[in-house]
Amino acid sequence: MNELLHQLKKLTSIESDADYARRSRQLILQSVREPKKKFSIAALLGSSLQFGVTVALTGILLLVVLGGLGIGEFLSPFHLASLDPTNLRAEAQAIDIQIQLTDLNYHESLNSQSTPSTAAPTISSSITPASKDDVQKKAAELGISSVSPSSSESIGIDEALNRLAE
Amino acid sequence: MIDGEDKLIERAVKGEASAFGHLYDHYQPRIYRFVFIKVGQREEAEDLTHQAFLNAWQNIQNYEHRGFPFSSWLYQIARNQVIDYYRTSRSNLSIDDADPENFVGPENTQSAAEQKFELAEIRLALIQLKPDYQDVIVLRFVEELSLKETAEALERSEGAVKLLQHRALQELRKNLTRKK
Repeated sequence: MNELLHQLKKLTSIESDADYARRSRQLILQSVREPKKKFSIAALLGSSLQFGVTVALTGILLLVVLGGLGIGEFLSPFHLASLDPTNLRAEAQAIDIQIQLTDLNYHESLNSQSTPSTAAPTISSSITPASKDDVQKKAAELGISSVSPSSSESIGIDEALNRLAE
Repeated sequence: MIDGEDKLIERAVKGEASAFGHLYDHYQPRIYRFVFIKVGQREEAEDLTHQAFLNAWQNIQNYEHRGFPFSSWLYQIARNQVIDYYRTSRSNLSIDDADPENFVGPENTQSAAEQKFELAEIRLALIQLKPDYQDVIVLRFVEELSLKETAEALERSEGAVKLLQHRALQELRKNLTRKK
């Protein structure tokens, strides 16, 4: 045991280079040290205030985001009374469309027109443009007012279309 | 422990560089020796010792005197530096690690070459031990720290240090006997 300890003691002769030690010391003592942060009431209040501001801003941001989602639902077209599909359907059915055929004189000008080319099919001479009187007569048969929008006779659009289709 | 160490530490904690310089002059050879025995390379030992003292100077305001020598705190820092060094560099133990030229010994004893060779052999036997065993051997028998100071430096209880010391000496004796 003593021999062992004696051998270990020989290790105390290990030394560093003198130049290295001098340079190292100089570098270390010249290095900049960060000052120790001292505890103070002002620092504590400052950090608390900073935390409080952070929490407040986060809360405001959340309110804006959630509020924006709520406004979006409110502004949705399906929530406006005037754009409710159910109401729209009911209003459409309640509309009483009164269609009145006005002056039907659009065929009078066709008599003076000539056929454009030989390749085009010719208009049969047996087909004559309807005269104004013929149209008005036909309209009267169907019960459709053909002259004046102020006529007292008026029917719904569905009925008018059905009569024309007959 | 140096005379007036408490006053020096107090002044160093307040930021007085000259006070820390005195502490450096006293403890640098010991810390260097401890690190060199562990790593075996002169340049590495110099770098690690420098870093250990730099860390100590940067953090000395956090040092609290708890009845132990300042050296225990320095050894803790140096030990952590060596641990980090082993983590980052995968150094394998080899006979080249015990280069006798790395040892600077006194010239008035037996021939310098023989002494250097002996030192290299002892170091080789030592570094074959586990790191905890090495630390206990070096701190207790080379640096001559007390059991209490060694426990503080190794951040262990005195009982644990006693047990480590016993096992470390047994292992070291085996290693030295095997070499012969």
